[in-house]
Amino acid sequence: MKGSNLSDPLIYVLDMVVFVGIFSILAISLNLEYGFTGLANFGKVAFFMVGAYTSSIAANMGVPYFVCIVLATTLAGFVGLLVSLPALKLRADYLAIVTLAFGEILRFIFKNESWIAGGVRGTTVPSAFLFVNLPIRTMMTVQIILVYSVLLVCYIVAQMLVNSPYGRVMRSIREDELAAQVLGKDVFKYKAQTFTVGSAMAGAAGSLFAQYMRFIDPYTFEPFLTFTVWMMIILGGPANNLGVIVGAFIVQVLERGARIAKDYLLLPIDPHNLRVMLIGILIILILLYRPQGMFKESKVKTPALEVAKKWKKSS
Amino acid sequence: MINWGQVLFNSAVTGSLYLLAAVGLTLTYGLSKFPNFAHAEFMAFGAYAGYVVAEELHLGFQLSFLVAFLATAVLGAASYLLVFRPLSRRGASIIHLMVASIGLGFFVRHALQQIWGGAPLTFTVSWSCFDVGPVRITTLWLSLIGAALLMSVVMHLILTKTKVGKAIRASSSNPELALASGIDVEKIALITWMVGAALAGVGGLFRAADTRLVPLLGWEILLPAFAVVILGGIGSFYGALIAAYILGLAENLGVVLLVSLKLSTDYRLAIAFLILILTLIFKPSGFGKLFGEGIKPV
Amino acid sequence: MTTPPPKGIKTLAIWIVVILIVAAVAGVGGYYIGHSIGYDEGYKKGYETAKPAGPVLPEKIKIGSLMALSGFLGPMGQKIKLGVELAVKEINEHGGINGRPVELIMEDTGTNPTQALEAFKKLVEVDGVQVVIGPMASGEVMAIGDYANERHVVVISPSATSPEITTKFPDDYLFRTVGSDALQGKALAEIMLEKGFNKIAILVLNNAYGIGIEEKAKEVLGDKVILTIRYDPTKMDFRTELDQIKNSGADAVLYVGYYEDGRVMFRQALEMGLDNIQWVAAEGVYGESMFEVEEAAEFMSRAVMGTRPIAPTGIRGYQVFSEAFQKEFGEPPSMYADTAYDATMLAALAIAYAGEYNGTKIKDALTYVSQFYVGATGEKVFDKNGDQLTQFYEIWKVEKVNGEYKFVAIGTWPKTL
Repeated sequence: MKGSNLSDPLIYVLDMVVFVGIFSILAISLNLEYGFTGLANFGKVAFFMVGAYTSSIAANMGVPYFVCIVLATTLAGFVGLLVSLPALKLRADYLAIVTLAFGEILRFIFKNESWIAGGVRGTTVPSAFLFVNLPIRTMMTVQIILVYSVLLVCYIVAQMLVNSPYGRVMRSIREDELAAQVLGKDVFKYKAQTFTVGSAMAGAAGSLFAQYMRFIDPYTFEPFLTFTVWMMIILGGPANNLGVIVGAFIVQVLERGARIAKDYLLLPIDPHNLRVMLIGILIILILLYRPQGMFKESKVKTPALEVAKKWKKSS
Repeated sequence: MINWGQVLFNSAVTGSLYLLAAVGLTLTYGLSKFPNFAHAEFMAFGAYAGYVVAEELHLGFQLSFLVAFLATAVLGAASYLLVFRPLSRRGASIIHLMVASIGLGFFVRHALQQIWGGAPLTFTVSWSCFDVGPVRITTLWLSLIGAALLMSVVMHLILTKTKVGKAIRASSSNPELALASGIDVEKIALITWMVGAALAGVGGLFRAADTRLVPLLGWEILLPAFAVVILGGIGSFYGALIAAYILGLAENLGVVLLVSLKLSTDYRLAIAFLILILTLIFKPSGFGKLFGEGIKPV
Repeated sequence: MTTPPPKGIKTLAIWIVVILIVAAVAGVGGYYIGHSIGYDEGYKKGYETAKPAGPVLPEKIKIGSLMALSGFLGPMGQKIKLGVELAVKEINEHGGINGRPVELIMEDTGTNPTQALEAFKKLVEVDGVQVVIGPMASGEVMAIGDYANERHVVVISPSATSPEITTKFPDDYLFRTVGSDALQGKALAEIMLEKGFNKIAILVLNNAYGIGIEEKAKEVLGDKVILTIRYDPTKMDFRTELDQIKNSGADAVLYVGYYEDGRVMFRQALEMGLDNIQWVAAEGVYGESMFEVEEAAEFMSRAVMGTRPIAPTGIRGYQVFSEAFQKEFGEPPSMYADTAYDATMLAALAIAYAGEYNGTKIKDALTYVSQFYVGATGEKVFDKNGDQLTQFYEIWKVEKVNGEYKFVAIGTWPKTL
């Protein structure tokens, strides 16, 4: 196996870039569900896990990667659809609890059923790129290209959904579901579709994650992962897709930064604990004083808006 | 050959723990209209407070209960006054409050971890055990059941006989109606939060004494506690009472079933979740309606 | 309600934030790219051209460590890391490696494979570490395996016992100072057969460790196993599980647990009156921490025996280690603190022998020097897969002497010839 002995801090930075990319996809998926449509999905990790496991099982059977990720996305979306049918009828807090419980049940199943990808032991996963003879920087760059291409696709899809009449309906559901219904919109259909798309995106993220880590097990997918994605949304600003990407960046930087900072700062307090305590307080402060997050909600950029702007300018 | 006596007794023990954990949760949920995830940390906090009294100051286990009760009540008041009430006043949605409670939980849990470390702490109290027929009993378990029953009786009396209690019932199941009836909902809310948190603290202390004390202690019981709250009907004390013991029974029976089916008893928690999901989907109001909560005005 | 600031200022504020973030990223990225170009073209080329006489050790020798300091195995990790720290302290007290002091860099894996890999990358790329002691859990080792091999960094785990590590990563940079559980399950089973137990209940942790031993034990015990329970340690409420065992009529229990759940399990087992049957346990519950709970200690003295991996030659080594540990930290060593200590010592030896702070050279040296080391757990010779060449188990039980509880060795497995 070709490799090198020279430590390369750039790799650590690039590693962070990959994670920001994967979590950005998750953040955008949750943003579509909660930021734009007001759906309180606390089970995001479940669909991430479905995608990761699907992709891993397929890849271990020798399936080429682009098929793996398509399978992962489809299956995760399908599971999302199944969950949405009974769950989306519930009000926000019930939905949150149900999705949380669903995520936990799914994790139990993956943990205890050893015929599903090793059960408690987990499973190794081949990388998407099986030519391992390239230097590591090149491999990292290739991974970044892969992840960010998928992120770009997700971002475009999300923006298209959101900057359209469809997006307007999403927001109207978030603001006042009853009014949207009165206006003749099949609210449930919109909610289910959004939830399915969000779950599918999470599945794609899971597939990317599995092939990058090259090992997954049930301990990787705890509810705290869902909470982390929520933090990113709250920080960056719900209903702003660029904002949540920035949120993902900030949360990752804080995490990595704390790990490095502890070597240089001599605090009486363990930096890991300090970091989490600060995040807790930050969340509360943001919710109190700036609930729209760092970046405000993006406007619905449909052609109609352009026309309206021009009209406003001319009058 | 199943020792039904033991299974029933174990169910009573589990149920009692869940009851203590869930009462506060259901009352605050009904009143403030959001599920408080920091309730887990209320439990842990009470346990650590009790630990300080029993193991660090060596003042005896009985005193530690009192301290756990009082200290956690203070935490509950602080949470309400500093976090949840200000948020409500600014028009925060249910989800905002939920996420804030998660943030609060993070803060408290890691503060506890910073002070006492992550290593498990144990209580050195010893309890005697004896057999009653085929059933094994220890005095700790009896105390737990006793505490739960005592609390239930006291709560029942307060809720039905006193003005404050009736106001709590009204506010928990129907805050708007309560306000319209002239009840000072804000004061009642503060009391509810304090009492709810205090009970959680005592529950946490029992849990710690029965097993061991770690910062994540509350999370181990939080999700079953939610199941109890939902099953019993949000805001309904009596509903929670019944639901707690049903869940305790279901879980212990579940263990028997799982072992005979050669499945891992890891799934026992999944039983609680399954009950929760099924309740929410098919009968979201749980048992609440049985007790006329939210229908009768004060 | 205050009037919102004029639109222009808000937009400006947002733009400033965005620019700052982009600048930060560009700056950091640029620094590292620039730095690396300088390194590649400058130092590295210079070193290769100049070829200083003989290999050179750096001023400070870094030994990295990945331990679970939080999360599920956090309580254990807090104790195991002390073994590493003791070794480093002793090395430095004796002048370091070839006169250079050792710097220990400890990172927390949070008992999470994702975090373990991230921490490992930080150690390798940011700190430039070439040897890492840890991680503890088999899953964590599996997560970093590929990366360790690609970056040529030596990894020595003191406690990852899954047989999978041998099969998935043979002949490479992964080593362990603890035997694979492929053997311990067999050992426990044979001990039970020898004692004539016929109705055996298996009670194990629901994780790779517990299930691994259960499966191997079942191969030997066959249909003598009348009941299998895999339990969730975080539940901490084992009464019903224990009751099942009671009702099954089992005459012995094969038990796999850790300290945290083990103490609760034994205490509840005592309360349930299960001390009238024999419990045979794996090494997870070997350690004086178990005695912190009086009932657990009492139960162990009445009903528990078990195995733990240690070579016969290690008995004296363990004594020396244990005394030094007690002196340094004021408490007896936990399980795996000894293998962690040995792992660290072996790493230092390998670095000294290699004479160069280079993962590949250290890896080659490690197998060689392991032949000559006898440590806290005895001989630690590595085979070509980085596993332990020989594996012995000590059979222990707990005795109560003058009101104090002690672990006592009562035999070995395989039986000494």
